[in-house]
Amino acid sequence: MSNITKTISILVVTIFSLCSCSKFVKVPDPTTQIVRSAVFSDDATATAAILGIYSSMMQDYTMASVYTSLFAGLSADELTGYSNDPNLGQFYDNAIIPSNPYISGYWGNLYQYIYGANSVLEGLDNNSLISAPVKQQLIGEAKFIRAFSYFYLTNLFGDVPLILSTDYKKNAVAFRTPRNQIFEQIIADLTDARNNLIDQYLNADNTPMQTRVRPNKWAASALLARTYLFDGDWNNAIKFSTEVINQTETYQLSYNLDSTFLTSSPEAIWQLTPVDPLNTNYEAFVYILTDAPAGLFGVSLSNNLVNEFEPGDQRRLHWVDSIEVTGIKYYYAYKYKLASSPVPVEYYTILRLSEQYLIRSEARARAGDLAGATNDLNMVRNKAGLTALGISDLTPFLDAIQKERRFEFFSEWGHRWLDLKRTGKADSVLSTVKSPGWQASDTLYPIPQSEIQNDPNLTQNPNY
Amino acid sequence: MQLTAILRPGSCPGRAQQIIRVMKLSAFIMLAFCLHLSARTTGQTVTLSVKDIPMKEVFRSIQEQTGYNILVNESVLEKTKNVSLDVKNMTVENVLNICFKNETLFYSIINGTIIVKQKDSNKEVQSGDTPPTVDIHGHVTDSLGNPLGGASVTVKGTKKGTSTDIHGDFVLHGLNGNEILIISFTGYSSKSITLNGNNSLSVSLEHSNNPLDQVQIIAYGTTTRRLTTGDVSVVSSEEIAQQPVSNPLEALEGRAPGLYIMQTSGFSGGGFSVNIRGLNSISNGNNPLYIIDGIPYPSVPIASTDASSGIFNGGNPLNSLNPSDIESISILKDADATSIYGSRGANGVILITMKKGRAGDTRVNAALYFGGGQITRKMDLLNTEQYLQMRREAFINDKETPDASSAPDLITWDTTHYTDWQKTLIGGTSHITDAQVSLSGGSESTQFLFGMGLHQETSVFPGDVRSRRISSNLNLTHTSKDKKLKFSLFGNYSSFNNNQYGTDPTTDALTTPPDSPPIYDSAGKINWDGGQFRNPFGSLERRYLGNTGNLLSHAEISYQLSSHFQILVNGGYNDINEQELLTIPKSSITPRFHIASGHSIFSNSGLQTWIIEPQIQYKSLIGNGNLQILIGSTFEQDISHAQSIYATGYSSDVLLSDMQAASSVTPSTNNQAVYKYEALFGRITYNWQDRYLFNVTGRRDGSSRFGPGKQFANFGSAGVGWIFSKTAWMQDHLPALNFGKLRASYGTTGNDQIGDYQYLDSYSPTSYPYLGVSGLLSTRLYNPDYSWETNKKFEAGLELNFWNNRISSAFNWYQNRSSNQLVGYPVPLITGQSSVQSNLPAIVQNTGWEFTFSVIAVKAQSFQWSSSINLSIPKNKLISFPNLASSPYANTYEVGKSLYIRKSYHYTGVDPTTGIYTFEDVNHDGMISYPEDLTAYKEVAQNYYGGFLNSFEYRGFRLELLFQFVKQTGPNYLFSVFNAPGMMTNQPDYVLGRWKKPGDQKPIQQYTQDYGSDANTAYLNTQSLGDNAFGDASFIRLKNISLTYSFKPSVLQKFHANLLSLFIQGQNLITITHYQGLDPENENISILPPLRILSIGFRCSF
Repeated sequence: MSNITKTISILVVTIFSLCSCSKFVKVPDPTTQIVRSAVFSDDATATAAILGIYSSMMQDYTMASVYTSLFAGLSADELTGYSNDPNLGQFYDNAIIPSNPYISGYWGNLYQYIYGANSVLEGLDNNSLISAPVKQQLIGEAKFIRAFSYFYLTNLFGDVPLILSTDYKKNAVAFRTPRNQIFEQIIADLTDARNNLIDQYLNADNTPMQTRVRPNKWAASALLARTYLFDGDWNNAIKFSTEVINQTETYQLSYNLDSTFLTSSPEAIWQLTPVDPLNTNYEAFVYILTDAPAGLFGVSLSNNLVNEFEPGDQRRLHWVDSIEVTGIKYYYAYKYKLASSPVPVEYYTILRLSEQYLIRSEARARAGDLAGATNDLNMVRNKAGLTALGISDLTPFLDAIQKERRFEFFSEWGHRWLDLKRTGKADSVLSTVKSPGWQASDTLYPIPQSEIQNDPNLTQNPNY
Repeated sequence: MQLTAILRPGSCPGRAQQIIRVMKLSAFIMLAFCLHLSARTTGQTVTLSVKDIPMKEVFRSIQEQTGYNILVNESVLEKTKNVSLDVKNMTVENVLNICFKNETLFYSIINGTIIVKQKDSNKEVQSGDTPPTVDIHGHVTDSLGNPLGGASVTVKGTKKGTSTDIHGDFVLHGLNGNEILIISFTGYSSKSITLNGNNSLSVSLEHSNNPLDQVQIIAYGTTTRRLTTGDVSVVSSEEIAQQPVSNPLEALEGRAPGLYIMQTSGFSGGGFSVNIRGLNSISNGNNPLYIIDGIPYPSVPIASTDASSGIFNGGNPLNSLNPSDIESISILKDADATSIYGSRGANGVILITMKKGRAGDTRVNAALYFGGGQITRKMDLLNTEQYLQMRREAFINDKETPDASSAPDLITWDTTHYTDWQKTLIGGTSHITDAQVSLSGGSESTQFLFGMGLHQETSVFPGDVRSRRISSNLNLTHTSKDKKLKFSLFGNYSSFNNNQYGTDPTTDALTTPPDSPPIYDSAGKINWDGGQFRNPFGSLERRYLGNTGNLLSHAEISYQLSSHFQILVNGGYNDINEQELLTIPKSSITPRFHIASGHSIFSNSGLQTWIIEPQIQYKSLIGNGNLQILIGSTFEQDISHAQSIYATGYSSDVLLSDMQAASSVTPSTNNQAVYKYEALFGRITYNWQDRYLFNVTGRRDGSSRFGPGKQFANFGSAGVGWIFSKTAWMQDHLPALNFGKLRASYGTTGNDQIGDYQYLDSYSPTSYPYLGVSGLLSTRLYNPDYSWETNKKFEAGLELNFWNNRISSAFNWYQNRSSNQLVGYPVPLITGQSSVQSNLPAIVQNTGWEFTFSVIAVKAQSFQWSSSINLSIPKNKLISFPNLASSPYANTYEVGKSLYIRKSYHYTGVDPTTGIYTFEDVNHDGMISYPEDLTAYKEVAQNYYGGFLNSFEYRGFRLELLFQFVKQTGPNYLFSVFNAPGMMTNQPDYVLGRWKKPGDQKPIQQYTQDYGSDANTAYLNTQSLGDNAFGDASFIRLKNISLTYSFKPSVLQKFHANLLSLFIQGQNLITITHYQGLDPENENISILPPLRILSIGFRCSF
């Protein structure tokens, strides 16, 4: 028995003495999370930090999966709202209140992508563990994502805080930055991205692949061309759109309109692949009507838009469909045709070639080259099965471009809303269509109420 | 020691002489021992015939004849008179009695020694002489003869006392042999023994029937109601056995003050909300800590909710525990009782003790019952005629014409058809079978218990769903021959198999139109009526399959180092594993959604906990009080994981449970975490003569849930008790009061119920892969500086028992203040996240009164009636919250008000002109605006609650009735589920009192079927934020009734049985309430409420 005494005593003493040391409560790093230092110690995990941003863009209802096209479409004259959710109704009525949860969700999405990009850039800064080509690629993609996010932020909200780090103590009290400085940052980031990225599309393991779901050099050029167009720098808009259009081996206009948004689209410059196996396409889910539009996402294409297609426009046949319920015809966008498919056949198309033609066309026109501009415009009209135009005056030509953009890009990425705003036509067009509630100040969305509550330095847009 | 031996003339003071005396005494005792041995053989009678001789001579003769030694102070003898005797074979005792007849002497005979003393010892002391003293040897056992170590032995009227060693032995020195000893031991009736000269005692203590002495299990030990300084409520296995429940938590409802348990779902395997004394934490866990036989047990389900989100309403891990295996449940509430659990005790502690074997004959115990369950209440809904009238009126109000698309229920459906959907979907009877068998017994050194149990339950839904729990437990206790080493082992395994519908049909039961078309079409398929009919039976095609395996094991080894020290190591290992499958076939989804394939969710989760707790206990008697010191430490590790996988792209619904048949498989949840915890704890208890009680506890805790430098924190408490009924004054002036105690405690506890790894700057995988590779996302803002949430608890209590516990009562007041609140502190979204985990200097206070009052009203030979009531009056208040107005809680909480408030629009009735609900427009902007018009505060909580228990015994019958009463405000039928009356969903018949035309003063607004109408907007305002969506949800419920008949022993003998009883038991049988909803307990009309259960069965023991 004395052996037992001894054993137990030793055991007790040992265990008690262990207690004084705090090593016991040190746990190993989690297996389902990776600490920052480990993420940026390896090419594969560092790449996963970029892929994670794309995945989060496509997971659930986000600004990328459907909200940009839905909100901006409702705010402009593209969509007719029937939603039973007053918060969505506010977009259609151009009467958004600052506490609208969709507004803060949208804003939050974009700043999350920016946070992700900043986090990657900080992780790669002074990092010698990641191989040079991968590091260059990831820096390029992170800057591309940041520029893309600020593009939508500043175009929808105006002056927004420019966040370039992950330091929340500093960022939590940031001020709004003037829109021109945001544009400078977008151009700087896209220029860096263009220099860093290569002309090939890469797979998850950073080897080349056909699918265009990570941006390449030309994606940066394409977004840069768009930014210069918005900024009124016609020469640079021409320069960078031409650069993309000249990649004829990679990009061709898609004359089969049913293949424009497919995974194999020849027109695609940057796409995102769906990630949610149950909802492979949120846009198709929201837009395609199987009954009269009602419920949360009750929305149809506005009759205005549908009625104004030129006769013979193939886009009217291939990209618009309708349903008749109790004698009333409801039209809907039919660019994406499958809400759910086990293996996705459609990718979310963000940048595509026909936009580059229309960018160059508009820039050339404004820069004085109406001949070249007409040529570019007719490329797109030809694709839609329409006859070539010959317009010799600038103003009607610019109107023709806007019209073309409207029918080419309806329900896509808020093009119409942004075009109305940048061309200064929003007030004149929408005040007739959307009266009586329309105000000129509605061109900017409100800064989310909670942001103004949580950051004392933020101010609200006028008339909110 | 001042002993002088007779026959040794002369006594001289001084130290040297003392030594000589002791030496002589030793020699003398040795001699006496030898003589004693011989005396045994020669007999102990005396024959003597003398006349008028000195006492001294008589003693000498006695010594010669009997061999007894005689110890006496010579000075005593000198005062005696001469003696005359004539006796033959007379016992020594009688001879001495004759001799001392006229003397002030008495004697005692101990181990062959006759000690003679002066009766009035005071005089002796005064005269400079010292009285003779003796050593008292004793042995204390329980009624079975097992030694009781640590029993307290005190000498009445003096400060002398000791306690027994582990063999149950004690020695008291320096007594005169005539005192009264009081021997007491926790849980046993005290015995007082008059020595009467005896100096060797053997005492056996009976288990106390006194309710004050019933053993209470507390943290790392036991106490009694009498001696505790903390606040502990105990529910015994007998009380649990009276209730046909499948989750032990259900058996606690209404029985313990300060504990509010709400069964949130009537699903087998459903959830419970358990709260001890209110909400302490703004955003983190408010769950108590569960400890089963020393091993922490999870308070929230370990499974991810991917598969079970549509049912159970949270679920509860205790569902896999067999209530019949439980010996007792202790609910620890105040700082004194919970501080020793340090960081985890803030929300109270529930200690569950499993049954153990007892020494004695091997016994077989068996119990079997069958029962049936139904929902407690139905709502009165519109019948087809009323429903159609409502719909038509709605169209008229909206100035619209119904057509086949907007109103199939009016146009295309058979309007003479009527289905009672409540009856069809949730109106069935569930069948319950419960069988238990156990074998127990053992010897003095080894005891065992082996048991098995089966509990099976079907549901109130149509069709075949059921849950089944099979459990087995084994308990072994061994004590070494010298009683120093003790070892106990406990193992319990249960398998809980739950086969349920994947969605709760309760909402459909209330809202499906009563004139809906037939459930199945002519081909026998679910009838969707072309997508117009949301067929509830579609959802019932979804199935949930859950399998939980739960291993609890526990071992304890202790060794008594000396009579003061004991060392103990207590260790355990729990392993819970849960596998779930939810199948959603294509056939269960309305064709409106154009879903290409059914899908299923496979989920697998587990938790492994090991713990080891070495302890040292010290017991001693210091200054007439019992001192106990406990020092221990804890090492614990939890490893948890949860994975869910979505599978879709099935070619057929038949294959949904086969993951391989899916063309797309995506992991949706994957969590793994390691939690480590260590602590050093101690407790000092001092009990001064069962009058003054002191208890101090302390704990130093380290937890891996906090960042480096923040992992450790200290917690402690002090408690005092004063049993004032022991004072002479009280005993003289209020003899009816047999027990009165005042107690108070103050201390701190903590709360670490936050997720693991929150302090890490880390990336997590995205829910879905991108390009076939799992993406990584930075999951949180990096703040390693947060630390423990602290809860300061104060409590004062008074306990009064009268007339030998015929009436007993307890009154408690408490104040708990929780500060340093751990919250996800809001930051602007521009930082990339919405919050950062940090401490908020907000203070939440819970105060309250708790009363219990019990009376044995009738206590006759054949009839007994006892009654008890408990009442809790909790109050919650947010004391401070810096910058509340600019926080995301601005529209949720209000400083100075309860955390249970709901900021709402103040309802001002139905406008007689427009016929719609109106609210107070506080900012006069002509509309109801959020958040400016949120000015009404509704406290959605319990004002008070309690239980009223009556038990009657008449011959073999025993009847128990437990009423639970709750005064509360809760969400009513307007809060959720229903649409505005007039829409294509059924309604409760309250809506018949609606507004019809201008000028009507009605409680219900006009019917509408238009989502865009003002009436619908007003209804949605009510539903989301109107204060009219909350109402009185108070109820009185016959929670439990149990009628048992036990056969008399004479009958039992014929069957060779120890016990045979038959019983009928009922749960939730009667409910009295004005609640406008389904059931006032779970206050939720979208979830199946707790069931009313009636069962019949028997229990026997051989």
